[in-house]
Amino acid sequence: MLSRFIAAAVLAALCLSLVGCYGSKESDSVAYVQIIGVDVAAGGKRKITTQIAVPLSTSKGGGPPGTEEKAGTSKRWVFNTMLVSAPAEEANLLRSTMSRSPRESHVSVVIFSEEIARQGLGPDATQYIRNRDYRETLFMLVVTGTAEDYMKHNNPALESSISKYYELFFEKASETGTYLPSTLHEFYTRLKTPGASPYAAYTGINPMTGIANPVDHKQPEQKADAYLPGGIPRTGTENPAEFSGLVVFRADKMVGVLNSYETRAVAILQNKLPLGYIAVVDPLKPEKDMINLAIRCEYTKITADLDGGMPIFNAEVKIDGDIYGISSDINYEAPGNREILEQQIADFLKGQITAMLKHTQELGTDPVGFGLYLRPKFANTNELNEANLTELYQAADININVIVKIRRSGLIWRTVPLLKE
Amino acid sequence: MSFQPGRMGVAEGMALVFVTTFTSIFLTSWPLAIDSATTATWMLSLINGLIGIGVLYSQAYVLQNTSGDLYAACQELVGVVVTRLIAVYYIGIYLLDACLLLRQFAESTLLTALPELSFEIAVGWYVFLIVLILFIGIEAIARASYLFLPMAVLIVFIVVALLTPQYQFMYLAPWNGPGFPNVVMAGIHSVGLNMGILIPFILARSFQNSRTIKNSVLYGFGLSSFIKSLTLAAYIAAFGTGAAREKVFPFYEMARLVYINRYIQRIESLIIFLWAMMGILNVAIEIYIGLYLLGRLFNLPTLRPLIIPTALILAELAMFPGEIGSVIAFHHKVHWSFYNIGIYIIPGILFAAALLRARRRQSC
Repeated sequence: MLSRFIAAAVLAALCLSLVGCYGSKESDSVAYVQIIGVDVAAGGKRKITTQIAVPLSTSKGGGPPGTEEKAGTSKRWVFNTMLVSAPAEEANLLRSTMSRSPRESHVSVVIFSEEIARQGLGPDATQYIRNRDYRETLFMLVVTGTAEDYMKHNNPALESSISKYYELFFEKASETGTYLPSTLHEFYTRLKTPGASPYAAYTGINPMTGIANPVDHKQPEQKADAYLPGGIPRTGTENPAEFSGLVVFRADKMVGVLNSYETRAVAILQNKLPLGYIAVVDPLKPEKDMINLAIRCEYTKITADLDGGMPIFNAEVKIDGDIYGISSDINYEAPGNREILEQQIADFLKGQITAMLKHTQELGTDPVGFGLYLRPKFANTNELNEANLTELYQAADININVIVKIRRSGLIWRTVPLLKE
Repeated sequence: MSFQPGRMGVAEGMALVFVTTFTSIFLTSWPLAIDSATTATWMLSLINGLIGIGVLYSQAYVLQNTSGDLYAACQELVGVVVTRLIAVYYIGIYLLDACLLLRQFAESTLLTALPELSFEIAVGWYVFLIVLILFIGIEAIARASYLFLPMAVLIVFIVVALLTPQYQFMYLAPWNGPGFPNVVMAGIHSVGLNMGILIPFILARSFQNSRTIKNSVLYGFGLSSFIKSLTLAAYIAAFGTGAAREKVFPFYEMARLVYINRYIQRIESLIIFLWAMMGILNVAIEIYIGLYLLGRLFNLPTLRPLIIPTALILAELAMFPGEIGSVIAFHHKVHWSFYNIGIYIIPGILFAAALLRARRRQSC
């Protein structure tokens, strides 16, 4: 009886240990680092910028009565930039500059400057992977210019939390395909396992002058321009930060960038384009008219073969289209014309995909992951490890077949010509 | 003897086998196995399962042709001296495994949940809980494991399902890894990871009958092998063999990788309790088996006085290695070598002896 009583008392006492989180800290004694920026500094040092949430400003109505307005207008975050020789030093110094204990478990984005990306991100990626505070699901970005400038100019008016800003941005990447989400996990996995090359989203600050700075190359069927970050012609009061294009790597070193349309070609081949918008030159009135469409990649099927050691890839892309606008009065909804439009779009997309493939083959990087389809062609993993998949990709013969089907024509099912004066 | 109650059924036996053979999925054994079987590591668990069925039927045959449990069968078939040597071997491996698991689970708690907790306190808490449940007895442990089993299976399936967006199934190619013969060899070598399949035979007197024992191993190990195989395939598809080889806690990493959207992510903290509980149960079961065999060896009337000293000695030994890397490497080494004696050689000898004796009886 006594032993049962003791056991019950011990169990009851153990229950008390369930009410708290021992070894951790109260939420009002920690500072949540949300974004980290990494730049190169003189003398082989790193300039690390941390963006830290100011909790009071993001909470609405959480404070005493009458403080809501003040809370809403106060700083949403603070920056702390330090020149350090090593990440461990940064962790120390950060604690010397703040009253609260910094916590990296809420870091959602790590931003690297182009300069550092060209030197190689392998050591940085490994450090984040090893540290339990960081998650592999955090996003990795490369910026034009420096990460510090970018972070300080990136001031979204629509979001109270900077983490939410980035998460929403990448959530809607599937609505355009002109930039792609890139996580630490995918980057690191691609670094360690043969089959695909790492990439990172490309971002930058727009000068907001309204001056266009498009990418030069334009196809005959193409109506709209392709851009890189900072090149979109715009003015206004919204945040100057913008995402466009993709940074591509060979091993862990940045070797080039893909523009917004090349990035969309990557998205199509990766089967990651549920929605996108395109404008093509009107095939029957090419002088000034155009057709706007919403497109959806229904499927992309890639097959691979090793013909005497030379890889051959066949990619079949099926695109569904929805007409958004026709500037001419040609009835493209009607059979006959519709097929002409479908062919125009197919040629346009095939041209973009082919251009992207040529560009990446020249750079020696495989962001789509064609090499993954080659993996089953090897007899075993030893054979796979001995092969150089990057070289095979560069030498590969890639056949692209784009099939476009116009499924819908918006809320107009046939175009009736405008009345003459 | 007080520690041979004889009331356990299929559910309890199945849970004992499941817990002791499944826990390895939370630790570094499988990332190390990727070195040998690469992309086909998920097959190892299935090969282990097939070999396990062979061990099951051979030992079931041994029990059918002898009386009592594995210890009694040994006495009948190979004599008292050899039986004592066999008992010492099994005591050694179960207590060694308990010790190595204790260290790794304590480290996992520090690494994943409570980084500021002192190492000794982490080990101390584990030992305290293990001692507490050991005093309750093997039946209670087995029934608690059975209650926990569906929850564990459900959680594993949830994590595997939520990871779907992260899978790149081409990471599983080449489908036969380093070549099918090499995979089979790795499967044969890695059976030592599943010492738990012998527990119902060791505790045979605590089970209702031989059919109960057979079904316990069949269902418990079958379920464990299938889920391990599925989880390993998911692990490799998510991380690729390169990154997968580096990880210390594969299942923790899988849970950490879940990102469905802004609202469904960071779920690992909900799942940490799964491997903490599985670890505690596994260590408790293995210590019990070690003590049970000690009781049989020295014909002790009860095990209870041995629980606290044994747990304290194991805790001290668990804290002895200076760093976790050597513990992981050593555990892998003994899994793939020393433990196999207990899976292949001893059951093989017993089976051969039982077969020989049965034939002799027939010829007489």
